[in-house]
Order: sequence, then structure tokens, then C-alpha cells
Amino acid sequence: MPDASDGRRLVTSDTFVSFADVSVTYGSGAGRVPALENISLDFAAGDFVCVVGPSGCGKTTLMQALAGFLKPSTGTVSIDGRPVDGPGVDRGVVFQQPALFPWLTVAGNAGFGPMLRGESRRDRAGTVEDHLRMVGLWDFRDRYPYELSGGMQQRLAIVRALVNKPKILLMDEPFGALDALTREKMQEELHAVWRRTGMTVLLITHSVEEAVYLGTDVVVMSPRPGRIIERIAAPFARRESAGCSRDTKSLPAFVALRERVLSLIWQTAGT
Amino acid sequence: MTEAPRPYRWLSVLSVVAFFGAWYVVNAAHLAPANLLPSMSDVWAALLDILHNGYRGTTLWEDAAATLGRCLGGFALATLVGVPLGLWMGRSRILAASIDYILQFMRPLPPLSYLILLILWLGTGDTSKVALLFLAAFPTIAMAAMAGVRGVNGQRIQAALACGATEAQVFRHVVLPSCLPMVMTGLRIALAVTFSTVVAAELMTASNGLGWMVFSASQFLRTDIVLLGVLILGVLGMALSRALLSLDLRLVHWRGRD
Repeated sequence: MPDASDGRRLVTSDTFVSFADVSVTYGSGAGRVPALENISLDFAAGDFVCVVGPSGCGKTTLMQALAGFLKPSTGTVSIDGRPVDGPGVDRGVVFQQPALFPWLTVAGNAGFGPMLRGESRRDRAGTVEDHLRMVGLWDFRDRYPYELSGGMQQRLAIVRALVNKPKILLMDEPFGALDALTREKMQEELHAVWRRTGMTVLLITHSVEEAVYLGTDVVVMSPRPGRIIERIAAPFARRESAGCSRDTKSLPAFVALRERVLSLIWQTAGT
Repeated sequence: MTEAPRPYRWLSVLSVVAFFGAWYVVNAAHLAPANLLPSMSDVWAALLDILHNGYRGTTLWEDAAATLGRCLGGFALATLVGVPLGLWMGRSRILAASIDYILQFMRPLPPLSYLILLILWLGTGDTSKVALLFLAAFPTIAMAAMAGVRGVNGQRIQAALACGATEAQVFRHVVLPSCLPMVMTGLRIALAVTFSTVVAAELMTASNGLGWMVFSASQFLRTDIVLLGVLILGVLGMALSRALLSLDLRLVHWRGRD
């Protein structure tokens, strides 16, 4: 990446993640399925970008390309000025299924990344403790993942990613398997973590309400092949709020934006 | 193979008591000729006899040790070869394809059908028996390990990669532990196969071992020793399988809860 004389990057100074004309095609020959078509999307550090759209719109593919789990057929994905080339510790991932390691304790799962980097148990103890305390799992540090509830498992999966101090947190339907109440609580916690750390987040979700509530930007995608239809700035994530989440979610402005996004999805979903 | 749930444990115990009770009644009521079905006290006397005097020159301990040694020797060899080979097969489609038909051919093959060939090639000693047990156990173990590698949850691997894991670290810290349940299941099946094969092999050719003792006693119509041998073999097989099961439960504490 060329630098200008004043040391600032030449590309728009606040671009942190960039999808440049990215297409992804699965399969080959007659069985070719275009999953993403000409995706161009930039966002800045500290943004909380929520991607919504009907099933099969390639939301997950979008995340996988940024995570480095798949290579785009054309175009480039870059983060912090560097093209993505395979998975890396700078991008934490959380899936719908927590995908924890059941042979490790809660503390073992939380300290997985530092352990890989050769940090001793003593060296990583402090970070692990801070993170587990942050999500209320410290008392469960010696338990195994299968002894935790679904919400606790997902908190642990988030901690496992955060411990590595990633530049961005990539989440694919992280609360999709949780019951409605737990889901709202988890949204609150994620929101609090984001407010506190100011980290960049890319969240894939089916829930328009979740996207409008948590996101600074809501990206609406169309089904097969996945294209970006519209990107809408959402004001609620950065808004100072003292009340509970339901207060925000019932604001007229919130409801209006939610309905606008929903109607966009309805239009693109066709029939 | 698994333990009965605790509240019904007494039923399991009761069934054993009922078995011995029925045995006693049949003998006490003279429902079967004593030379075909020896009484419990005859079998007990036979046990004391061979404990003190041995059977045809070998002690009971020597026979048990011979059988166990062959069994565990063949099993250990099959584990040492089968687990790494299976793990490698799970990683390499080329290796898997190269060995697939051979393993599929060997797995259902009754080991005794080729025992005679092994005896012709390797002699009547322990080498042919250990080779037989190795061949009987290793396809099951290798295929279980391969299935374990193939069944690893892809998102766990992705999660590890996103934590900065290298290819080697993914194998060491995700693939290996993920395979453990399948590998242990394969080992438990293989141990049962090995144990029943060793006894059958001893029936055909051996000069010691519990299988040999049973076969030899049958030639002299010593049904008390035959029955004793069967009981000892049954208990020994159960103990072996229980030992491996408890190791399994300790190692794979997440089995069925994941």
C-alpha cells in the first residue's frame, strides 16, 4: 500500500475493511453457482456493520471471504490495507454453533489462542481471567463447555475470539440458535463490549431488529447471486441510551428504519 | 458393553445369581448327567486342583498369562500401526484410496480362515498368533481412526485457524482430540475381536493358554475343566473390555454430551 508524504494512507483515510468488486462462484461447469456478485463495500475502524438478507443471499460467503476461509473468484478483500490471504489471528470469528473444544475447560477454551502462541499458563492467566470476568464466566472456568447453557457457550466463543485482540470480530448468526430472551441479553452484552472496546464488528444476521439495533451500518443483500442493494446508516448503536433495549426498539424512528429495511428485503426476495 | 443404569444394577447382579441357582438346581435334581454338566462343586474342585497342580504341566497363571500376552501383544501392535495409518488415511485421499479395498476385504474376513497360512509361513509359535491378531484387529482400528479424522467439525478447525493456529497446530490441538471418541470406539471393538480370536487360535494350535486348556480338556472329556475355562475366559474378556471402557470414559469425558 503506497503512503502519501504525510504518512497517511492514500485510499480514503478511514477505510479499514474493503471488498473491491468481489465475486464468489461455487462449483464449476454447468454446476456453477454464483454466490456473490460484484460486491464493493468499505467500512471504517470502529464500525459495527450488520449484513441482512434472505437465506441464500451469500451473507455467510461474504464473512468467509473476509475471514480468509475462502478465496474470492475475482476481486480482493483487504483489511487495514493488506489483502486477505488465508485466516489470521487479526480476524476473530464466531459462528452460530459455538464450535468450542469440549476436551478443554472453559479457561482452556478462552486461552486457546495464547496457548497456540506459546504463552505459558501463567502468562495468559491474567487475560483469560479479565475476559471471563467480563462475560460472567469466571466462576465456571474449570467446567467443560457441555456443562454450560447455550448463551454461556456463545459468550465463551466470543471470548475465545476477543482474547486474541483481533482487529475485527466476524460473527455469523451468533445468536441464531438462542431463545428470544437470551438473544436480547446477548445483544446487550455485545453492544456493551463494542462500546467499551471500540472494535470493528461484522455481524451477519437474519434479524432485522438486531441489525438496526446493533449496527452503525446495515447492509441489505439480495438473494442469488448475492448483491448489495443498499447500505443504510443506523443511528441507534452510537446513541447514548440509559433505558433498556426495548425502549430503543420501540422508538418511532427505530420502528420506521426497521420497517424500511424489512420492505427492502421483501422487495428483493421477489414472490 | 455399557454399564446398566444404577437403579437397575441389582437386576444385573440378580441374573448372575439366578444363573448359578439354575445350575445348582439342575445338578441337585439330577436333570443332566454329571459327566456332561459337572456340578458347581466339581468345577470349584477343578479350579483348586489346577491352581495348585496346574493342568498338564502348565499352571493356570501361565495359561492366563500366555493368552493375555498374545491378545494384548497383537492388540498393541494393531493399535500402534492402525491408529497412525488411519489418521494419515483421513488426511490423504490418495493413501486412503490405495488401501481402501484391502481393508474392506480384510475387515469382514474370519481370521481363522487364514490362520493355517500364517502357521505355514510363520510356524506354530506365538509369532503366527500375534500376526493373526494384528491382522484381525488393525483394519477396524485404522478405519475408525480414518472416520474420526473425516468427521472433524469444520467450524472447530476454522475457529482454531482464526485463533492463529498453523496446519500442524490444527492437527495437534483440534483433529487429534476430535478423533479420540472414534478411535476409542474402534479400539474397544478391536479388543473384543482380538480376544475372541486368540482363544479360537489357541483351540486350533497351541501348547499353552486358556484356549488350549479348554480344547485339551475336551479331548479327555474333562467337562469340569472345560466349563471352568469358559468361565475364566468370560470373566477375563469382561475385565479387559471394562478396563478399556473406563479408560474411554476418563479420556473422552465429553462423549455424548457434545
